[in-house]
Amino acid sequence: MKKKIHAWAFFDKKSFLEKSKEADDWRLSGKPLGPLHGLPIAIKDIFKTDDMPTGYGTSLKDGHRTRDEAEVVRLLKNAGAIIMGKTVTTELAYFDAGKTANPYDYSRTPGGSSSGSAAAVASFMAPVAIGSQTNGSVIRPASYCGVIGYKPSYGLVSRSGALRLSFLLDQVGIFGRTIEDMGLVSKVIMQKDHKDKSTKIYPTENMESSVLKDHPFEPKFFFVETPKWKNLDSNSKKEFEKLRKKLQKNVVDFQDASFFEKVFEYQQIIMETDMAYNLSYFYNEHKNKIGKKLREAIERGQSYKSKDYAEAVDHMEVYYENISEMFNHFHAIITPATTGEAPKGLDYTGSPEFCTIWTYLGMPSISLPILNGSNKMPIGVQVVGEKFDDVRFLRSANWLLKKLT
Amino acid sequence: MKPCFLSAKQIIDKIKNSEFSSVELANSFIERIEEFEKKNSCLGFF
Repeated sequence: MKKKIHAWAFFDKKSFLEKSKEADDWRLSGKPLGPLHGLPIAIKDIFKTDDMPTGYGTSLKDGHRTRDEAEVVRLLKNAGAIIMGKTVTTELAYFDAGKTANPYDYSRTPGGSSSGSAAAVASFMAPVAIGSQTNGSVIRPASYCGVIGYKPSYGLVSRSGALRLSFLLDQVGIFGRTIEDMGLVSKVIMQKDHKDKSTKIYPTENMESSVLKDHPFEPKFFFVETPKWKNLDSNSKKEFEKLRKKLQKNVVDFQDASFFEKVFEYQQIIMETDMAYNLSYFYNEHKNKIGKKLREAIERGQSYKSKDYAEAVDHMEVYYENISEMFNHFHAIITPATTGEAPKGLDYTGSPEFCTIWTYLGMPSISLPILNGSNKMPIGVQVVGEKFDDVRFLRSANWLLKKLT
Repeated sequence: MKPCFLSAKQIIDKIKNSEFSSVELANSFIERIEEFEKKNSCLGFF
């Protein structure tokens, strides 16, 4: 079998070695080291980099270079990280798949849209990678590729310099192999940025060690099946039943899954309306050169009524106010990350339906590689936390990971 | 263990303690990348 994952949209060995040499020279000079000094990091190819092309997963931007760079890239470089290359994204971070294969089975999708970031970490080609999520683009590939994928609360990481699909939904995420690494990278990239007005000040000092601390008592979770439970494959249902039994002391079921029924429609209206505006150049100038799924989404986005958009936006807060009360009694939510194992084929990146609610509500979520499917492919368990309580949330995720693996 | 199999925290600590250099680390990742991606259609060169 050919061992080709195709995780990289751009990788330049010579440049990577030169940057590494510079990092060595800096360290040997005795100058102070940044918190990520010498750490190679892969970046999804929708974030601008001033020394590498940014292709956005479309042939229309092949080799496209910019003078500026994304805020998240700037922060990582300032902390001493080495940007090792750009990873494959689906076309314009939507559903039309890129060339990447799943490292566990080359005939299966790695998920999307952060396909290359998840695959690069899963295959040990990068220790950490940056991705993004507007619906399920971090959690889903992390689940399919058997790595940790963490999407912080909306407003904690700047999106400036990244491809914009939706101001209200786009969120930056991190792929890695340990919770400690999530804290380590978060500490650097969670900064208020005047170029992204959604961002807030969030204290991150010692975040990598804080996330490993034990709670004063065992955390309590509520299990949310969501209205999409019926779409979970039968093996995953069995695996989640076993997991509930193992955690019975710590888990309570959330009974009213239909509570979230309208969220899927609301998320779609916001995402597609915003895409119709933000990707209008690609649609207006190159309608026949963009993928079918993207074209159709933009066309739906052009047709929604402003009243429906306003209602969808209003309900982001209404829903969150209702669900946030539960965090007075529980630490986090447990729910599936995906409908099951990575689907066969590379043209379809799988369904984001188990991520939609939490992205819409801007809540921190993480996929933990805990379960396996009937074909021995990894399946993630998704943990979701209270907004802007990411440290405590990661602590709960770490407790769960230790308990179940 | 090869450096490419370490976590980010382990990598940072080992570089700070001079247990390996950034260039040695880069070579470990390059070897891994070439194992999986050699002669693929990346824009960069190997």
